[in-house]
Amino acid sequence: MKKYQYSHSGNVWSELVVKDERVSQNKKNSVKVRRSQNSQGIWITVAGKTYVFRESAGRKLLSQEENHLFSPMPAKVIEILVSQGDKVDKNQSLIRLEAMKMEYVIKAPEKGIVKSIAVAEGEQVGAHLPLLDIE
Amino acid sequence: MTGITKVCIANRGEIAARIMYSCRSLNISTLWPYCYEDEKSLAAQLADEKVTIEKPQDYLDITKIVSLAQENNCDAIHPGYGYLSENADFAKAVIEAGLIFIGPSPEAITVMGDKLKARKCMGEAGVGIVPGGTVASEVGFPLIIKAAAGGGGKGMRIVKETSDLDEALASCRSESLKAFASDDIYMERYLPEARHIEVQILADSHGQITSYGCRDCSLQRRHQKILEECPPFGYDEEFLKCIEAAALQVAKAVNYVGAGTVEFLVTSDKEFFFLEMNTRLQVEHPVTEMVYAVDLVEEQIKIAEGLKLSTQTNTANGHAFEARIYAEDSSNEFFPCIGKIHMLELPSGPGIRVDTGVIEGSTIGLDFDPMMLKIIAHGPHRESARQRLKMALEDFVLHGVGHNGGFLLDILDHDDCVEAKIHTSWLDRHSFEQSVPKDSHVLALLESEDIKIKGNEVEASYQDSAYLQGKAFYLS
Repeated sequence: MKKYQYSHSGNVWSELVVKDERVSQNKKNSVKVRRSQNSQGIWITVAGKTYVFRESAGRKLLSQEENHLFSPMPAKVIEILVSQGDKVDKNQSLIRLEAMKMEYVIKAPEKGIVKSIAVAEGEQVGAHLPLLDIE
Repeated sequence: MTGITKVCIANRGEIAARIMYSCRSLNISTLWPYCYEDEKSLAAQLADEKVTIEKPQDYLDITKIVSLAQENNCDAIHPGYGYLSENADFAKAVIEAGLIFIGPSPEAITVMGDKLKARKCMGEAGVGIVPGGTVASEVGFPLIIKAAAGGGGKGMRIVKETSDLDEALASCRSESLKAFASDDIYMERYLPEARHIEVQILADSHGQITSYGCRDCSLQRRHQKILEECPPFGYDEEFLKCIEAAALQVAKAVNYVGAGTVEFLVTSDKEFFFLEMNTRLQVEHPVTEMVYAVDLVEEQIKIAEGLKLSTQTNTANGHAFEARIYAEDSSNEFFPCIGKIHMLELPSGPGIRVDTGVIEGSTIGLDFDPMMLKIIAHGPHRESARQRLKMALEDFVLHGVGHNGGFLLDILDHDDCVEAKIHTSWLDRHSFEQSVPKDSHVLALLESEDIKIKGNEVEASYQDSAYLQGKAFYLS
């Protein structure tokens, strides 16, 4: 049994377990398969669908359970719409980001209280870094 | 008539390369002002001469681009699409510098570039326009806010009720200000189930004007097109001829010269409204080129030289699709992806054309538009074109940057795509489950100890494999 973390282009990595079971599959037309590796992990394309995998490093995974909200990409923080201690509703707009000349609004996934804010207006943030914490 | 000998290409990416190919076939040399970030790109390999500009923003620097073209003895400038292509000041500066602008007159750009003016002008010319204005209560909900100077979906916001209006207005204004240096906005009634049908126009300086059929560009995310086809499917020929006639009326109303596209929204009751006219080459022009066997860039150059249109009898042949490959995560609200392409294999085969800007080693950063390349498929009829595009996407490999190749495959397989039932808000209502990579090949490649891999090649017909548990995504 092997553990992997899977992701798309290095976004939030989740854990995935590959079991040592075997299943048989019907033979089908041959398809194009390519495998490569870079610092992000193993890239696998099968018939035009691409997956990225990396082996679990044993460190704690960043997940929604911890209620962190992450930057989906490298971006500039244009506006922070909430303050620490604010009560927020589900889908409430929290932070406005800008990248590639487009705006993205980070919204609250659930109802909660803003525990901490990790960024400031005008700041450049890298991809997949925590923006704020909701409790 | 002025023969063009050297063209300065004021653009980057796949369209810069695309223009260079047409110039080469006409024995015209090319000059490309480019920045360091674009060193590893197809255009950098194709350009006859290159000069450097300092930073990514310089692609928008009118003075710099024009003086570089002059200093290097160019006699014309091609603006491509995006960037300065619909900037009347740029067209003016090019002409004032004694160079040929490969595009329409600054006057036509001005009228069509201000979406409000264009609406007014077309209303007066008797072309149906989507009900709209600048007062929300008069327009009615749902409505769509647009940047008056806009294009490419930038700034657009759909508002369903009054309470969401203020936030949407502010965000549209701020995005518009950044993209177009103007925060003028207007509102239109939002037509949710409409299809986006557009007409390719060519007009020369001798008063000849012709249309090259219609394209259907209804599949959009964030008001940007992802999949286009020519001709639109499911309409009778007579109806499409009506749209073409309206488009010609629009172009004539502004004495248009050059290549342009007139866009319409077509409701489910087959009512059609003028949306806007793009006074430039469109991203999706290859589907028209495949069906009509025309090189639109070549035609643009000839028109700019003062030549007459080579033909006015345009015969359609078959059907074509174009899939745009964006560096983005389709499973995560289409957020842009960045990275360095370390593996790239472009598809080929009957009826397949690839217009790429990237090569192996290209870096995708945040400074530029996330569209990397386009895969175009032509076939004798719609279903053959669809199958060919599917095959091409299945053979397409790009590693190092997340992209929407897999997502496009899912769309092409969807019943609504097969039956041509896609409208502009279709993607908002259809989510695609992230597929679990349960395919035996993926697992075999992951757990590769009992599989023989020679370099990057793998024997691809396995009988059995491991079983993968858990939820996974695909790079879509």
